[in-house]
Amino acid sequence: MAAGSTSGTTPAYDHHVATPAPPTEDALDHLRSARPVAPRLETDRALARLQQTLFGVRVAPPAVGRYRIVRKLGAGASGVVYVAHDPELSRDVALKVLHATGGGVADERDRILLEAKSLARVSHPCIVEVYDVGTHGGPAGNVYLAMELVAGLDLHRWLQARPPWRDVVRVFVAAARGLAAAHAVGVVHRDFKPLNVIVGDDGRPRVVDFGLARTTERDETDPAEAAEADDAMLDSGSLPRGATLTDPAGRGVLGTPAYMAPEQHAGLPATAASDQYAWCVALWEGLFGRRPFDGSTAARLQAQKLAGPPRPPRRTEVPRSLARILRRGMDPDPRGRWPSMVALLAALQTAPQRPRRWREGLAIAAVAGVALVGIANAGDDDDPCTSAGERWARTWTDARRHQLHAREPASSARAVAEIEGFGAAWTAAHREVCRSATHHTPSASLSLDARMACLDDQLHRVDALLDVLGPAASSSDPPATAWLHLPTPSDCTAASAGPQTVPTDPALARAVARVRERIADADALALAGRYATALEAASEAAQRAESLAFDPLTAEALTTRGRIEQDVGRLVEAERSLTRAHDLAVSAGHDGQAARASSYLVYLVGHLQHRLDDALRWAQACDAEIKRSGDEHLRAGLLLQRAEAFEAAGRVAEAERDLDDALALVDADPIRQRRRAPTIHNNLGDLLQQAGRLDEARAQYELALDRWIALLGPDHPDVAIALTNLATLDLVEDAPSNAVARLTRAIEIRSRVLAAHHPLLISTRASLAVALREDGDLEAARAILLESAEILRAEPSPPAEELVAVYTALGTTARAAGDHEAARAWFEQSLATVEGTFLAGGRTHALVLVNRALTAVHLGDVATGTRVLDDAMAIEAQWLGADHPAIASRRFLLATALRDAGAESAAAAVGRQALQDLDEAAAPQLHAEIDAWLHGA
Amino acid sequence: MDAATADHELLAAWRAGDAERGNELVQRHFASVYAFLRSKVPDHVDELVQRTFLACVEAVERIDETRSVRAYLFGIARRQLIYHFRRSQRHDARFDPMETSVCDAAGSPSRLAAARQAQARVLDALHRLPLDLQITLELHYWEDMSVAEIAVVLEIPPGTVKSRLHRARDRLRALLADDENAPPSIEESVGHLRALRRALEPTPSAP
Repeated sequence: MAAGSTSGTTPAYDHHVATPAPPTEDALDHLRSARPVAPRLETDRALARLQQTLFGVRVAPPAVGRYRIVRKLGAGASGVVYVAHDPELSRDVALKVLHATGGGVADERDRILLEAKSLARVSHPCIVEVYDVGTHGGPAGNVYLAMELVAGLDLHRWLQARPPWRDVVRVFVAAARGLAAAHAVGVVHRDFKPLNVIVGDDGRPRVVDFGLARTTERDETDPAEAAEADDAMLDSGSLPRGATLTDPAGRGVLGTPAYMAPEQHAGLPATAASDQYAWCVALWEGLFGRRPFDGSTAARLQAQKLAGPPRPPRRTEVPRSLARILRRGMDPDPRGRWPSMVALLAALQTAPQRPRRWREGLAIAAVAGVALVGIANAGDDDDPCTSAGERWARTWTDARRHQLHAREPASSARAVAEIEGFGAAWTAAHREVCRSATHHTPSASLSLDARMACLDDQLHRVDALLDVLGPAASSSDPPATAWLHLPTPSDCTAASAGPQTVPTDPALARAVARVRERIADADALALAGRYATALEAASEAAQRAESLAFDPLTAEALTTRGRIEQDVGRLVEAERSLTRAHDLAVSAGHDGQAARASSYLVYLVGHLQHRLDDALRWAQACDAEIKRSGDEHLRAGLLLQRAEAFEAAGRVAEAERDLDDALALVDADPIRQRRRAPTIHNNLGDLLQQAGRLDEARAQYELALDRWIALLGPDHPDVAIALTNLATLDLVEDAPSNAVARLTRAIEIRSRVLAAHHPLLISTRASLAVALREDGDLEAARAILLESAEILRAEPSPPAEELVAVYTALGTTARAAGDHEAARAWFEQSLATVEGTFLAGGRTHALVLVNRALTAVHLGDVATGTRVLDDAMAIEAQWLGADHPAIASRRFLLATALRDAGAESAAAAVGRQALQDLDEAAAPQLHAEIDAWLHGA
Repeated sequence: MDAATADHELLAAWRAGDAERGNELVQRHFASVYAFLRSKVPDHVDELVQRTFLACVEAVERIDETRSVRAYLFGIARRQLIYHFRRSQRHDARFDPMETSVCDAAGSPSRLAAARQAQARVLDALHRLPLDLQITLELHYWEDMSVAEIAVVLEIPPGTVKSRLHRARDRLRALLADDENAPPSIEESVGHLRALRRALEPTPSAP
C-alpha cells in the first residue's frame, strides 16, 4: 500500500493466480477461526466518537505518539497507514504504524528504528518526507513513522491512463533520483513498484513505503527454503501478484513477485541493485504496457528472470537506446547491472540524441526541476516530416484520455488501446509517406500529396471522434463505441493509384481539406447520435463543396448527408442525396465513394422502403464499383445491406446466403471488420428465428453475445441486444425464468447508459414483463408495464412502437389474469395508437389484431374474433406468404380458443383453414398437430 | 454474576439515568458489533455503528428484560445493514436479505484480508452467501449465540434457526466446492405458443 497516498483503497492490481479447489470438508473447520478482528486502534477511535455522541463523554481520539488518528488510509504488508493530526505543528500527516515485530527481538526493532531514522534524514523531493519516527505502546511496541501527506495518485493508477511515454520516463526518472538519494544513506527500498510511488497532484512523484521491516533473521534463511516458501504462497493462489510478499512468519517484506530481483527470489538480501532491477521492470511495464516477465508462479518468474530480459516490442515509439538501458538494469546477475542508480541516470542522459530511424528528433536531455528527461523537438513547422508524433500527441491528449475513462470506465481500456493503435499506425504511415517524399521523383509527388491529404483527413476524423467520445451530453447518449470506426492508416499508403481526390491547385486543396473536416465532424456527430447537429454540419459541408465545384468532394459530403437524412427518417431526401452523390462520384471516377453511396442505397430502398428490385439494381452497381475501386473491404457491408433488403422482402434463403458470405469476409479480415461480426451473427439469428429454425437461431445469438462481449466487454449496451434476443427464444421455448434472468441483466446494462424513457429500455422492460407473466408473476409484470406506460406518456411525443408494445403487453397480462374486459380495453388502445403511424399494416399491427381476436373469442364474440383474425392474417400473408407456418399456428391458436368457448363449428372452420394454407413439408409437426386436433384428438 | 445478568443490570441503571453504566454497556459490546459491521460494509462502518447504537438508545425503554441485550443489539445492527443495502440499491429494486449477499451489495470486502489462505477462502465464500445466512453462521460460530438469541437477531421463530443453519452450511460448502459460480444452465422444452413476443422486441441494429 502506498504509504502517503490519499487516493484510498489499494487497486486490485493483478489478476489472481488460479485458486485450486479447496478440500471441502476441511473448509468449514476454518470458519470458527476465521473470525475477523478489527484493528484495535481503529475500534478505539470509533468507540470514542460514539461515546461522545451518546453520552457527551469527551474521549480523546486515540493517539500514536503525539499524533491523533483521524482516519485510516490503507493497510499494506508492513503496517497500517492513517491520516493523523499533529497538534504541535498543526498539520495532517500520513502515519504509518508498522506491524508488531514477531519474536520480540529487540535488536530487530532497533535496526528498523535506525533505518527509519536514516530515511528521515534523507531529504529529497522525490522521496516522501519522513517527519518523525518513534515507538508506540512502550519500548516493545510498534514502530511508527509520521510522513508527509501527499494528495495524488499512485503510479499504478497514473499509468492506467496510458500517458505518453515521455511523461512516463519523466516520472520514473524522478523516482529514480529519490531511490538514489535513499541508497546514498544506506537505505534500500526492497519493494519498489508502481503502487509504491505516489504522483502528487503537483505532478511530483514520491517514493513511499520503504521496506523497513525486513528482518536480519530472514536474511540468513536457507535460500532454497525461501524459494519454496515463495512458491507455496504463489502456487496456492494465496496472493494477488501485485501484493507484497511477507515472509511466512509475517515478519518482514520479501518483495513483490512481478518486480523483485532474482536474488530476492533466491532469498538473498535485497540491495540497491535489487531496487534498480525493480525500477527497470516497472518502467518497462510503464513504457510497453506489459511486464517483461509474466510467469504465473514464483518459480516460473524466477526462471524467466534468470534467462534474462526480453526484447522490446517491435512496434513502439520508445527509442531502442532506452530499452537497452533497461535491459542492462534487468541483468540476472547484480554485478552485470548498472553500478548504481546514479550511473543508470547518467546513462539515460547521455543516450543518443537522435536514435537511429527516429526522424522525430527524440532526444533525452536534462531539463529543469525533477523532470529529467524531456524531448527536444527539432521540428520545423513547415516540414511535415518532423511533426507526426507531435501532431498525434496534440490529438490524443491526457484530457481526452481522462474524459474517455470518465465516460465509460468499463470499456475505456479497450478504447484507449484501439486509439493508440491507430496513433502508432498513423505516425508510422505518416513517416513512411514522408520518407518516400524525401527521395521523391516528380512523378510520384502527386500521389504523395494525395496520401498526405488522406492521412490528414484521417487524423481529423479521429479528432472529431474523440470530440464526441468526450463527456456524454445527456444520459440518453449512446455509449462511446465510436472507436470502432477509427480509420485504417494503411488505406492511405496503399499502392493503388486511386482517383484524383485532392486538387492540384494548393489554394483549392486547402479549401477542400477544410470541407473534409466538416464532413468528418458530421460523421462523428452522427455516430454519437447527435443527428440534428450532424445534419447541420453535413448540409453546410455539401453547400461548401458545391460552391467549390470539386465533384469528388461533393460526392463525399452528399453521401454523409444522405446517411444522416436516412437516420432521422427523411427517406425521400436521403434517396435524393445518395443518388446524386453516387452519380457525381461515378463521373469523377471516384469508385470507392460511388460504392459507398450505392451500398447505402441498397439498405435505404430495400430494407426501409421494401423496393427489392431497385435495391438489387443498386447492389449490382455497387458490386461493379467495388471491383473497379479495389476497395474489397466494402464488400461485407454491401452483403449486409443486401441481406437486409432480402429479409424485408421475406426472401430468407437469399438473406441467409448473403449473411453467410459476409461472415466469411469478416472472418478473413478480423481487424478491420471486427465491429461487423456480432451484428451479422445477430441478424442471422433474427433470420433463422423467423424461419422457425430455433436451435440454429439460438446458436447464432450465442455467437453474437460472445463476440459482443469479446469486442466491447460484458457491460456494453450492445451485449444487451443479444441477451434480449436470446430471451425472446427462451420465451418461445417456454423457459420464462431464463428469459427473466437475461432480461434483468439486459435492463441492468441498459439502465446504466440510457434514460428511463429511452425506447430500448422501455421495450426491454416490456419484454421483462412478458417473461414475468409467463413465469407466473402477473403482479410484477403489470407493475412494470404500468410504470413504463407512465414514463412514455410523460414524453412530449411518445414513440408509437414502444407504446403499442406496452399496451399490448398490458392486454396479454390482463388476459393471463382472466380479466378479458380489461384485455380488450388495452388492445383497443393499442390499435388506436397504431392507427396513422408507420406501424399500420405492419407485423406489429397484425400481432395486436391477433390478440384482439383472441380476446373477442374469450368474451364470446365469435364473429368479431374470426373477422379480426382474417384482417391480421391478411397483413401477415403480405409479409410472410400465405403458407408460412406462423400464419397456421396463429389460426390454430384462435381455433383452440373457439373450441374452448364452445363455438365448435367456427373452431373447425378456422382449424381447417389453418391446415389448408400450411405447407406440410415446411412444418410437419405443426401440420400433424392441427390435423390431430381437427379429428377430435 | 454472569454476562447476561450484568447486561441487564447495566441496562436497568442506564434506564434509571445512569449514563456511566450505559457507557459501560456500550463499551462491553462495541468491539464485536463493530467487527460485525466492518466485515460487511468496510466503507460505511462508522456510520452504521453509530446508527445501531443510537437506535439502541432510543429503544432502551422497550428492550425485553428477559431477553439477551446482545442479541437485541445485533438485531438492530442487522436492520441497519438491510436499510443500508436498500438505500444503496437502485430505486425500485427490492432488497431481500435472504437473496442478496454482501458481495453483491458492497463489492468485495473480503479483499481486506491480505493473505487468502484457507480462512480467507472461507470468509470469501461466507460473504457470497445471502446476508441472513451469513449472519446466522457468524452468530453461531463467532458470537457463540444460542438458537434463541439468533432467532431474536433474525426476527424468525427459534425453530427456523436450525434449518437455516443447515442451509447456510450446505450453501457455504457448495460455494467452496465450485470455484466459479456457474451461470444458470440453459435447458429444454420446445414450446409452440408464439403470441406477441416478437412484437415487443425492436429489430436491432441497422448496419
